Amino acid sequence: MGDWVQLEAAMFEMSAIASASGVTVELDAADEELRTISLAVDLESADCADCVLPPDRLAALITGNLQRALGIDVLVTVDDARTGGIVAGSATSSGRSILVLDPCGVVPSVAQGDHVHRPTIESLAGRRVAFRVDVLWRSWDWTVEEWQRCLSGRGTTSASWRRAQGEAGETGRRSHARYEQFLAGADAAVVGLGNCGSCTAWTIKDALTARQLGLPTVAVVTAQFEVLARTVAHDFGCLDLPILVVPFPYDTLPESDVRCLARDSFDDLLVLLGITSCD
Amino acid sequence: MRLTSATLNAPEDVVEFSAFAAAQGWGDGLPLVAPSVERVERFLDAAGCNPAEVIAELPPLRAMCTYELLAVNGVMAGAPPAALHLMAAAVKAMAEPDFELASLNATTGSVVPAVVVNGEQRHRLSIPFGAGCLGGAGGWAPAIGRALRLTMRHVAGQRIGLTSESVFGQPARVAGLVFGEWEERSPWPPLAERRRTVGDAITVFGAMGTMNICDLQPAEPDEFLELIGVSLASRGANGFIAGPAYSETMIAINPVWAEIIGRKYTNADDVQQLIWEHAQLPIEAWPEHYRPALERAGRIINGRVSLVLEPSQLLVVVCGGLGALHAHALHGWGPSSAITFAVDGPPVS
Repeated sequence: MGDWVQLEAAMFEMSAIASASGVTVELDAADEELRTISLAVDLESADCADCVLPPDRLAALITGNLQRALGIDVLVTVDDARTGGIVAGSATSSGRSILVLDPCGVVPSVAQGDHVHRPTIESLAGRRVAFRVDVLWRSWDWTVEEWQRCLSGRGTTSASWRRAQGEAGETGRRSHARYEQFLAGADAAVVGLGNCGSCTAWTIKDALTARQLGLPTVAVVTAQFEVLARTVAHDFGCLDLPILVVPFPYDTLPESDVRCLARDSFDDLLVLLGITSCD
Repeated sequence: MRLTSATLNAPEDVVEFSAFAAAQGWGDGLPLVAPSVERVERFLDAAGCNPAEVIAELPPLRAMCTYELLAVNGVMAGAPPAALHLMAAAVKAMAEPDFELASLNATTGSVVPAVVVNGEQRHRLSIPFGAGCLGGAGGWAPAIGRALRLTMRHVAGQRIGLTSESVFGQPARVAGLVFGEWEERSPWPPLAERRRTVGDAITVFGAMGTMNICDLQPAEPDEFLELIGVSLASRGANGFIAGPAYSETMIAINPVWAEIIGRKYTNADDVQQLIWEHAQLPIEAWPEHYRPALERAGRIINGRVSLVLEPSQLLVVVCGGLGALHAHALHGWGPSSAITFAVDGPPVS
């Protein structure tokens, strides 16, 4: 199994030696089960970059030191800025390595500002809120009913539009056109419910449609699917989509509990829409 | 040949490379062939493909899958260069909007894009269509399927717990599900031809898994079709979920049964119709509180709910061994639509 307790001491020793030449060696990750160690080497402060060992020999040296300290073979990868990539130190005495290609694609870069600036709304008095509902979750219907009741009490009108997700071809295009038409008459949008994988993806897509139309928009998902929701929003270039998270499981709760939770989260909804006025 | 993927120095040994790959977040847990520059160049050269050509944008990461990336993943999986055109056609088909790949990759369901292979390419690529065709027969199918799965993992970014909420996954998420149709033993035109594509073609279909149907008694055509239909119609089948707009289901019929059925029903449409009529449940099969959603979706007709909305949403494929006794159901994942594409490109020896 090796003596992984010695890793910290080994790193400290190596870092001390390296820093004497202005080279920084930092530990990125270590996996005892996989016997892998990832390090990053920085030569910015090096007195003489040309004097530092070439990347493959430096990686081999580091690997040897760590193997001696831990008492086992480990696979060491070194992120060395000089190569623009990662060098593997030899994990065995054979030390043969090859150049391999990264199988992952280039993900489109997402920068804050690639997406529309987050729209907000200060007051809902006299305004209209669009609720996008679905055909899957009765709890979402109950939730929306409660929120619409709360809005009505504030003099805000609302309407619902039901998405049957995944309509194909021309039917799907017409359906989406109707959704956009529905949003056009609104001042804010609330979209849900993300309570499974595909419906979370659809919730985010529909939320971003509303966002693209300039509407203050909140997506509603259950806790289990929050990570997916944020990942999907990020992958579509939106880093700050407001997401209201309700408990999970949600749809299996009694109706009275769901309605109570909905009333309790109404103020959170308003905050996410950017409501600052008590009107 | 100019390749543009980032390069890394890695151990040459297969065991060490597999550990290295795991450290990078690559792979599926099985050993990998190191995608060296030389191997990938040879792969692309043998297939006669331009590495820079874009095949499709793949969700959720929206990275562009090029022939180069498909080749890298193909090498890692041990797939043959001769399969690159088939793999590209499958990727293109999966990226079609009606296939719903973004949702399919995210779902809690266990769905995997199955690839049904038609045409002469089945023989060139040793794609199984007889005994053990869904798994266990030899040939290149598992490596091709795995290449597609690795591409979905590495390029599309489908990762359990991050971008995929699949509750169970399924074995085909590792080795894929690639099989051929036994066209020579089918009484009906090949599946792709029935879907208006002749020759070498693939059909991608979102399969929730594979479900065996077994009976020793049937002997008449209508008995086989009734057996298949009622076996499909279990309450937990995806097609009975009220919400999605529709769902498809694929049925693999072994050649012995197909021949008997085909003596009476020479048109595959009739086969679909009869299976569809049996793949139904009475509304009383559901608890009362299910009814509103099913009614709202228009699913209750004459007091019965059909697994799929129309007979055309049942895809019939003839394959499997001559031991008979079994059919196989691949329930679909609504609302993904099966997509059929021709496989372009010159045959590669």
